Amino acid sequence: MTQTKVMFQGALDTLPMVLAAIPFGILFGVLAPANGIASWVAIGFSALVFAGSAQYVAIGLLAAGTPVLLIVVTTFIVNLRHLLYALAMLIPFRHLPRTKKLALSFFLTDETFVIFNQRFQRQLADEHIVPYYLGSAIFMYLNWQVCTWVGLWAGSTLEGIDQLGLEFAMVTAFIAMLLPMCKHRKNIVSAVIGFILAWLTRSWPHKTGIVFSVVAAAFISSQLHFLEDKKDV
Amino acid sequence: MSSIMLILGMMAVTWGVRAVPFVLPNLNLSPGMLNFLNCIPAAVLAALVAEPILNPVVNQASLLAPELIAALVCVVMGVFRAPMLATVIVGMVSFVLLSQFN
Repeated sequence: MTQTKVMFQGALDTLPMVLAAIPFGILFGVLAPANGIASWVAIGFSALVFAGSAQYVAIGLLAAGTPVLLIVVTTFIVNLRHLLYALAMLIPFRHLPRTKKLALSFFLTDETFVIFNQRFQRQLADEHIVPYYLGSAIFMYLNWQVCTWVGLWAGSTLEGIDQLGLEFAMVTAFIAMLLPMCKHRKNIVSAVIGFILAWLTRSWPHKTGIVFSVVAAAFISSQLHFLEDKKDV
Repeated sequence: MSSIMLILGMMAVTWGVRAVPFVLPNLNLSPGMLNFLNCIPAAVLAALVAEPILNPVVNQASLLAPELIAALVCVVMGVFRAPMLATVIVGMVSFVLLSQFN
């Protein structure tokens, strides 16, 4: 197979993920201005940060008047899971020069990791690793940019689109992402504790309650060793 | 200015987390740390939905708030392993419909 073909295959395998990301990308573009965030900031988030859930969290925090530093800290925590993906990518990327690894890691989203890893587990020749990864990554990236712009356009053109209660779509999306994780008992415990603590600490200043709740919930459930099932890790 | 700081700061931590194993060649996380990291995504998602779901319940002093019911619809769909997109669509439709009657 030629490099181009492999790249195309990577993009094609990512298509379901791209489709699922479309409403979230558009909604992000709609919600940002509705929460008082300038269009160029929304475009900057999508182009330079490129992390869906963290971008949503950031507009929520911005709307609540959270200081920049705390938003950056929260982004860090929300994205900590990517560390696990990056660790897993050490093996497929082992033969690449460091600068290339660093450039490729910018595009390491949940979706591209999942798709790449499925294929890599089955079988992927060394010379096909980069084109396959790039096919998936570029498709996800371009789609996210276009959806953000479409959302910004829709939000400014279509009357009342910000009053449809679209913010609630974030809640439905987060629940939809959360439930498949609950096949591991640890995640159920972590989610329940996180939910309760976040509610109890909701009046803490600058959303510090969220950061506290996440760290506390993950710590407690990771210490409960009797929860470990054989499928874990 | 603070918007530029915010974008660059978020970019730095996001890319930083994704790049750290390639920068530090001998990064060996303890099993305990990996375990902790594994528990984070579920905690983040759950913590972020607590207020949007429960605030309306408290404000309206009613367990029939559209947010709570629609969230429960999503949970039920998730338990039955509905595709993510279907969960989002059905959750949103039920939220919009319930809001009409509230």
